[in-house]
Amino acid sequence: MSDEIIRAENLSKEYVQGDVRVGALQDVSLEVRTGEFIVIVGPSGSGKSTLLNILGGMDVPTSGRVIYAGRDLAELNESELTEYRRSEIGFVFQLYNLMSALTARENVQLATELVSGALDLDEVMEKVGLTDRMEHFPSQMSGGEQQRVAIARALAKNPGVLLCDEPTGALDYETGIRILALLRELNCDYGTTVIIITHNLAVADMGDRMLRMRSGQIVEQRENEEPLPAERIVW
Amino acid sequence: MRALDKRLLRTVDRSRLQFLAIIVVIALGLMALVVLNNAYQNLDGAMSDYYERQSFAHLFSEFVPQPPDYVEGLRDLPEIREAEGRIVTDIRADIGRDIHPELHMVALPEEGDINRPLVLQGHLPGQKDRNEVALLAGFAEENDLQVGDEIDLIVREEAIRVRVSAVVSSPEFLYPITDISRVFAPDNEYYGIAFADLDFAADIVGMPGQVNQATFMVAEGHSLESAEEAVRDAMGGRGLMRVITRDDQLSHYSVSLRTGQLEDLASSIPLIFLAISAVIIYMLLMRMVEADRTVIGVLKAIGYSDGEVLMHYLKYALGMGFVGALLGMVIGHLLVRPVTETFFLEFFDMPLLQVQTDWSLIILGSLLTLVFCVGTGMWATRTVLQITPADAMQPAAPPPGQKNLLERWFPRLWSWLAFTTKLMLRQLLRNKKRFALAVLGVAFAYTLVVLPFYMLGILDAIVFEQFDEFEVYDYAVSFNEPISEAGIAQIREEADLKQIEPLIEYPFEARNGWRNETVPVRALPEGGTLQRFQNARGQRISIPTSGVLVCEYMAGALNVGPGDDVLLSSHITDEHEHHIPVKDVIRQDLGSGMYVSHQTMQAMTGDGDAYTGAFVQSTDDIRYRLRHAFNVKSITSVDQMVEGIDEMMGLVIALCTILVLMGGVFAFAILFNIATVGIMERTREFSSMRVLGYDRKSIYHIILHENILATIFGLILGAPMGHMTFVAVVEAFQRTEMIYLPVPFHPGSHVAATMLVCGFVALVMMAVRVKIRNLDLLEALSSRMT
Repeated sequence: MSDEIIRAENLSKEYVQGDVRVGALQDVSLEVRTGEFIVIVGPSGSGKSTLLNILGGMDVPTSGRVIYAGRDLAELNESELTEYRRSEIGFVFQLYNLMSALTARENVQLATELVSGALDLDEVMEKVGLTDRMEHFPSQMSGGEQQRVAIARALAKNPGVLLCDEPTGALDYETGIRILALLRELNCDYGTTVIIITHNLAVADMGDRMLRMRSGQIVEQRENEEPLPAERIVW
Repeated sequence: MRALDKRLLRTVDRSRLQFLAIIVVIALGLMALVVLNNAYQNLDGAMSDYYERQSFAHLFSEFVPQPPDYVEGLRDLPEIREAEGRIVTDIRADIGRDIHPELHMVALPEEGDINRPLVLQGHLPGQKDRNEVALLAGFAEENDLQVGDEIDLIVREEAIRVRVSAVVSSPEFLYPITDISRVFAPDNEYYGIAFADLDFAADIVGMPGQVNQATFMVAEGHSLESAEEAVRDAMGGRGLMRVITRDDQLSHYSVSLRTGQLEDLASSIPLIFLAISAVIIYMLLMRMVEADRTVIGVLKAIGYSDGEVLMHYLKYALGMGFVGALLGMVIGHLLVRPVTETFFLEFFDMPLLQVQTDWSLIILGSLLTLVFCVGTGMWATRTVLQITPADAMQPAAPPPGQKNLLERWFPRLWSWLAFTTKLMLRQLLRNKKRFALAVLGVAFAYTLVVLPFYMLGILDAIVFEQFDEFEVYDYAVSFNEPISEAGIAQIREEADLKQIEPLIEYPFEARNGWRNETVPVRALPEGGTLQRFQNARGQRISIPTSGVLVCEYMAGALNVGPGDDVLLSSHITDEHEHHIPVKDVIRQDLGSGMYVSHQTMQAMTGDGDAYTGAFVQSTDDIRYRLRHAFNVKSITSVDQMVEGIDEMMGLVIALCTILVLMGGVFAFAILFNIATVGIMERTREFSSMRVLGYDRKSIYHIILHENILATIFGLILGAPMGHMTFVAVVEAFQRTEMIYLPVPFHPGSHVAATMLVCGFVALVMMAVRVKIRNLDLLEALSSRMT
């Protein structure tokens, strides 16, 4: 493992719903090293997605700060934050969120044309195993294929960090395993830092590190000396 | 091409009917901008150039014959730059037909500059021979008269043979009509203009060394009003009959009425069209942004900036604007000539007209479209800026639900309603803004559709009510010299007339305090039946023995009503003022006037029975029977006037059809887009219903009922809106001394407009039905694709 890429210090996040204040994150601190594969597990409402959104610059904490490659995200203005998401972060969503009016290739192109150092589109598509499905629209693809497109879209920008929100949540077991294997492969091949959040405890064993969250706090943190290959995970 | 732009193109392709509907509205707006503004600029420019080149007079005065020195002296007035005396008289001409048409003869001094005719063919009269006349082109063409032909002028019981020396056009007679009742249709067959040499005319009409009219050009730095006042003061008490400004000159008034309307339409119609397209674009984009909430979140998460996302949606609006504007301006450019020629040159004699395109309109049109589309787009998509990627990833919170008013106040009634009806009512009450837009859309379409029907209704009222109810004579005859009762009897006998009612008519100065108006006062026999009157309350009234009936316009201008006195004076009363009580205020749509009994007129003038004209009722054509009655100056046939108006009605109907079709386009564009937005918003809701067992028909019925409700409310709102709009239009443009249009509530127009709007709504519903049939509702339920 090499240097630290993200450091989160004492992150808290509160939402106001009517007269009630709901604490989504409470004093969470975290360090992520370059090239690390982290799995964050926890039940619904434990604050996983909130943490991921804050790390990705999609949301701001109520208190605390996120340092990315030495830069405090709280000090970035709107356009700098956009630039941060554009260049440094790749998102993979549970429900893929592809543009239905665009083909697989065009969905990926949507990301590659944003940055100057993007990976070769064909190479990325080949990497995710979609060379022969490039001209298909999302409606003509299976859930697993759609998620591969979503991963290709996130990866193609050549981001520093890949943030995956329940990437297997909408997939069947076998497809889920294949997606996890792909993410691990990309982590190894490109050195991309990967953070996966999931409620599936079994996935935790494939990460270099596992964080368990409950009620907005990190309640357990464990380094895996020998992470399991995705193919050996069972749930 | 960028991926986002491809998405945009495919979105357009998916919503092509909506896209097309908006494009059509924008195109119509830009087409109207190019056509109407160019037509206006061409006509107005041609008119100004023509007036300038031929020195069209600023002022005209009519007086009892005077020596030319009388007019020359007026050149010394500081307000007057130039003054010319001339002879103007109405005669008849024998041109080899059974009926002798009326000729308005204008005799100009040879060396004069004012109101010079433009020679189209031949030479001006008097240059080679005295016995020559130049004829206005319209009359010459209609009667197949050419340079070199000979005709007989019937003047003072004599037929004087003259040669047609020229065919001309004149700034004074762009629209040659005898009086304002002809404003809708000139009659070139029976009414012509002839120009003659001044000395020749003076000899044949018996005014040697005299003139009876003067024309004036106002000196620089002086207003028309001050010049009019100066002339009136200088000529007052010296046989002055009336002073007319250029604005009140019949031809100029008629042309200006139309160019003025054209100018108003040119500035308002394009804006109305663009405003409507802006409303539709706003609805469409707002809905699109709402539906694309997750897309926007994803784009922002990927790294697209607010500006880039905003631009993505703005391009949609700009695309519609660009295509619509381009289409509208190209078609508009192609239509400028045919529209100008069909709607204007058909009536107006504009020899200098050059149909040109003002290219600055292209810039104006592009800028207007840009402002409307970008402004609307920015306003509609401003929520893009508020969507944070993290929030967008979460499903949108359902809108707050609560019991509606109907449910709270009439629970029993609510419980009886069918489920689909409840669903529809909840939807309407939850989306009040959208429902209000739909209602406004219908109301606006209704207004557009009802306006042309009102126009036709009012024309019908003017033409047919005027001649069926008020002016029920068949012919109006005017005499060269006033004639006695015996003369009337002679005419009755000569022409074998059943009914003839003599009249006396002179221009008078009417005064009430500081208010002062020149008005024709007509004396009619008591108990006469050929001209009838109705007061402002709709009651029939007859000519009072004493006192005067005043038309609505004049009553307003002089601020008099029943019981007030009005002061009347004229050259015929030697300028002596008479106090005459106003008996009632009467309706008069065309022209303005005052009406007294013979007895009252005779008391004012001191003359006995000296009639200047007569109304005649006869089934025979008296124009033929009286063709040798030399004292008859003119005979106007009501039937022929109505025929002329009928001919013109074809053009009016064509114009009205265009307006109705535009209303249809609006109705379709607005309602179809509202319905489509409604369907898009509720795809999941409808999908759930499908799963529960409802079929497509039930879903269609929900939308149908919503539209029916919007249509009913729209019609209820549209009826008064249409009526008030028409009243406003009439009050702004039509209520002048010349035309004072009544605007009664016109049920027939409303029935026709209601039927048409319902027809448009039915068309929309047919398109909506196709849209619902093509929706894959089950896919919408299972998928979360964006």
